[in-house]
Amino acid sequence: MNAYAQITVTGVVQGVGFRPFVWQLAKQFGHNGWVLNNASGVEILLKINRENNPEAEKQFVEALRGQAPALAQVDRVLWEWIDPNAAHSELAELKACSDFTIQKSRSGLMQTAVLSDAATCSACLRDVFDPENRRYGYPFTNCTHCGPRYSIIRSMPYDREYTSMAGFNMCPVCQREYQNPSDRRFHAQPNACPACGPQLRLTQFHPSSETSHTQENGLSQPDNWRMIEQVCHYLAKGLILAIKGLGGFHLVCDAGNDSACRTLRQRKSRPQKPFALMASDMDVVKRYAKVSKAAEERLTSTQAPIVLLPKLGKLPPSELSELVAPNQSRLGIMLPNTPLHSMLMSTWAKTCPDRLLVFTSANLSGHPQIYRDDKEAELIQLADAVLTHNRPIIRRLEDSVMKTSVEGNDCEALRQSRGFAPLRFTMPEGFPSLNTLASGGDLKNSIAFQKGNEITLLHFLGDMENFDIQTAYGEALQDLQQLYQLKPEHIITDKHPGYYVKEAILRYREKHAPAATLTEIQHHHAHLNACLFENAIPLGSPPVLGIILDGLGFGEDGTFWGGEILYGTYDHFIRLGNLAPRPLLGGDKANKEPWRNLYALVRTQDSLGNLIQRYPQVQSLRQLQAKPTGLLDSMSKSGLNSPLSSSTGRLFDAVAAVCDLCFDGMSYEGEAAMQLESLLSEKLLRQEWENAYVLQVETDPQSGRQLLDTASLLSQILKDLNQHLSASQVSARFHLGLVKALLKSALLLRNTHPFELIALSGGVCQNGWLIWIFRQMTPPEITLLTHRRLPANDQSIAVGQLCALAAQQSKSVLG
Amino acid sequence: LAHGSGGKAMQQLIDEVILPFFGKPSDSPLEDQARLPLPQSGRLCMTTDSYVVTPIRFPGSSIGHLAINGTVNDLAVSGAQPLYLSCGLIIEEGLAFAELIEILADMAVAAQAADVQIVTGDTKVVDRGSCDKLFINTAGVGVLAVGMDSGITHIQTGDKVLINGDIGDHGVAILAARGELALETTIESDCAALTTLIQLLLAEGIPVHAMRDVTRGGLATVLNEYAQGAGVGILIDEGQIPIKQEVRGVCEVLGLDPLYLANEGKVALVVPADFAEQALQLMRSHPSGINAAMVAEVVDDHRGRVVMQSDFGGKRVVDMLVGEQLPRIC
Ligand SMILES: [Fe+3]
Ligand SMILES: [Mg+2]
Ligand SMILES: [Zn+2]
Ligand SMILES: [Zn+2]
Repeated sequence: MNAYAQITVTGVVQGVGFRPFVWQLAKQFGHNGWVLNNASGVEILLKINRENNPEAEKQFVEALRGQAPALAQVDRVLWEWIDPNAAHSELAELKACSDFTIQKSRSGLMQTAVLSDAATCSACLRDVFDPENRRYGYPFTNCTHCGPRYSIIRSMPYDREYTSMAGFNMCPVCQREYQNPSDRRFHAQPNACPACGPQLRLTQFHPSSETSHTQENGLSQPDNWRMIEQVCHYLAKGLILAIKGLGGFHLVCDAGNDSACRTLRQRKSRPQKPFALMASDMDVVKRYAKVSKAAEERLTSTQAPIVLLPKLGKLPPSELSELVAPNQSRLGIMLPNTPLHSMLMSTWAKTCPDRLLVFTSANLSGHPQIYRDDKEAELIQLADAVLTHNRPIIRRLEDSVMKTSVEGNDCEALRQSRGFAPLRFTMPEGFPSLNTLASGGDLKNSIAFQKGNEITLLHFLGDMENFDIQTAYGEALQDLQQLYQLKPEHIITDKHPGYYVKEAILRYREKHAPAATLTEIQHHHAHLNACLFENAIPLGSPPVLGIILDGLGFGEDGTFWGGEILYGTYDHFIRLGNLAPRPLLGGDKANKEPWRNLYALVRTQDSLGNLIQRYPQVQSLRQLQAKPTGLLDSMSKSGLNSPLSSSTGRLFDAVAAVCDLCFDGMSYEGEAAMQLESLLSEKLLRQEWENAYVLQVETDPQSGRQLLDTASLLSQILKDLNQHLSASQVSARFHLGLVKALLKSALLLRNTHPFELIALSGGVCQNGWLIWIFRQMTPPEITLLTHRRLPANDQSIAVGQLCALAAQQSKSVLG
Repeated sequence: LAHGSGGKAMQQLIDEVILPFFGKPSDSPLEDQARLPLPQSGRLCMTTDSYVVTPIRFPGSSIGHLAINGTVNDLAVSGAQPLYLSCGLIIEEGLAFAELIEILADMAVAAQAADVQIVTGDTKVVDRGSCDKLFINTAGVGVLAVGMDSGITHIQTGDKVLINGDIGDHGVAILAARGELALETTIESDCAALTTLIQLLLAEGIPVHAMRDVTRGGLATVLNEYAQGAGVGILIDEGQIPIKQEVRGVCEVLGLDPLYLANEGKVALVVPADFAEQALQLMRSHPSGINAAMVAEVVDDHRGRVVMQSDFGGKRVVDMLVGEQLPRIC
């Protein structure tokens, strides 16, 4: 006697080779029936010889979960036995089955999840490097286990005609692969081969002695391997190439060539910010950096992010230019993530063995990465030659960035984009099902939405002041309809009255969701929530203490916050403490020029002249004399453009400036803090443990809040610098002192506000040593929550906003 | 000045102090209203504005100049010829006679330079603290010639935006004059009437699509009004914006954006591209337009918004200010 079952699998199960996998599984178990895609995922109908196989359900479900294809993510498997006598609409058909088949979707195909791009799988790599294979040297080789997805999709469903592959018709051979369930290219939408797919093209803009490949016509181009050899030849000569990747163009040059790196910095007008690197394989990575097991897993993952790794102490100086990552203790390295990269790197390994290539985004400083083919002209200003192709990129996806923790046993995300985006999370226990859109913040912007009980964080967009980023923001909002079918009932934004996102999201609401409620969530509450969320803290858990350390966010009192001790839950919070507020002398200028923050501290102590007399050896004080400090004094006194801020980022800036690091200005956000961090080591911190600076913790008589006094910090630093202590020692003592004071304050607060958990969030918490010190100093009865999958910085603001609203909604439903 | 109870003291103030500066519209006895001839053709154009600037005197100008030129310019940017002004003075008890007289003299000089007559007025002295030294309201009447019809709705894609000179001078002069800032600067307010400059362009047949005087909120605000009002995009070329090195320097230190600084003698004109060069040359031939420049163009892209192409660093969105300039960086 036969048994019948209907199985529904949800999660990321479409477009990843799931149906062929089920087909193989059914064959293996000897079940008949069929599999198809439907609106909720994959549906399987099985005819089982139950008497012979009583364990059928258990075995089949275990195999579904355990052996699923690499890119699949099985969320739920729902197994329902069908009574053989029931009036089930499909039972008759199932009873008649004598085979297992893959069927066409019945109710208009609906993709359940938009897929991320994936680095080339090992099987496709074998094809590309096998001279006997028809895809030998074909840089657009992919299959259901790898290749472009999010970067080429225009709208749903995920079918070739709605991707940027629409213009390429599959040849008969590719078509057969596409239709064959036992082929790993079965329903691989971007499937292509040299006969029918996209073509590589090398164009040379700058006249050079060798003008062999200037023709635009694909047919007269040399074959792909010869083109790549030519590229490596250019690179070895010190030229700069623009190369089209999955989510945008990169600028590529020999990382061991000083003059090439210098030219690249000039052309990009990017004086200091570290360049990302690409290595041909793990062995090469290990020549330059310390690679932990966790880091290796990340580097070789299908997401293939840039991973920041500790630089090895003794590098042969000729192999890596100092200009790649000036004043940094880490290198950002990635492995090839497309067949083109793999072909390039393998050829490069023969040209210049063991050398890295710089792989930095192709853009002028302040512009976003170039990704569209019609912007090729802009590449002329930047690159000597361009290696490109005719498969359009639909959305700009910057490289994702991760960082190994200082212990080396883990990696945390700093930027979630190519490979990860769109990033899906199931909400922790207790959250209501909602349709909500969250704007995120103005910097490091990413949009997020909640649909049902899932949160999706879209790709990294960047700084909203930039017009091109605002354009990308508008396009990302369009994706909500075209890719996700989201009809938001609630819309959330930040409290900052001048944020560009606020304006943009209001325009969206007016046009697409006029009935949606509008809520503003405070910036640091969003940070706190993002950290609780990714640590899967259930809704309704007792309050936690949030230590939120970042640049700036608009506070509930109209000042700018950024060094906050908050106490609360997903739905609300109170502010229990903060760094003593100081004026931002010159508003946004103070966010870019560390000396202004140093001067804000100096003013709390004494006149500059007196301090110089007392600490004659401190160079930075003398440098302040050359600045218009009188004007800043009067500005602060008259309240002109000097808003108060309790920012931790600005405190780091002040400490960097007094150590004469980034004194005049920063060439990229966070540079001063990153330099202070890069001076640290475990040995140094342990050595300075007892010399931590003392930051007084006082209770503000007006608000009752705890104020961490940063003024007394300055005299301690000046005393040290006057006695010629190194910037490294000052940095160590500062880091130790800051954490010590924050924890002291936390423990005091615990007497009146009980908590078991401390959540650390905000951009400053990307500082690995700071987190390490927290781990060392936190008493065992308290658990620290930190970020891993969601960046500690503002990219996670939108997720935190969603949690706040969902929590508030659940409360209001409960009354 | 003492808070007069009206009557004789006030009569004396008006007769002996104020009238000598403004004169009477004719030799007829003083009435409560001015009686003015109707224009032969065209339309009447009328505006009013109140001036409450602190301090009342500042480098290069005063509240008196401002009260005349501000109202004159509000008329002039419609294309009208300003003719008559009213003058309402609200004086704080205790204001020195000498100060009042200086301001009145400034008004007289400005009126003469702008070729307008002050034809009626009102004077009140209020308690100490009820106003700040001196508030002035002026209303103005001008005549708009037949066929003169510029306005925001005429703005079209491809048009060019011209400005008649350096921006931000007035804003910096006021900041410096307040004395709260340790700001040493030689910058003077640009306060001036724009009538003759605008009339020159019109007389030469420049088909101006839109004109606005650039005052509080600066060039950024006017351009946003254009963009939103006409539903077009405006693209500023940062390198073309005329600005004094010293003003730029002050903005640098204070962290202010010169695009938002106040002006009192600037007009932002929108003209068809074909006439832009000619208009620019005409402006440069006029004393109030020596540093005139073509600062922006009207584009089809980013409708309703103003975007600036920076010298370095891409395109930046130039928003309407929400309150004061707030830092955003995290
Ligand atoms: Fe933040
Ligand atoms: Mg006005
Ligand atoms: Zn593959
Ligand atoms: Zn093919």
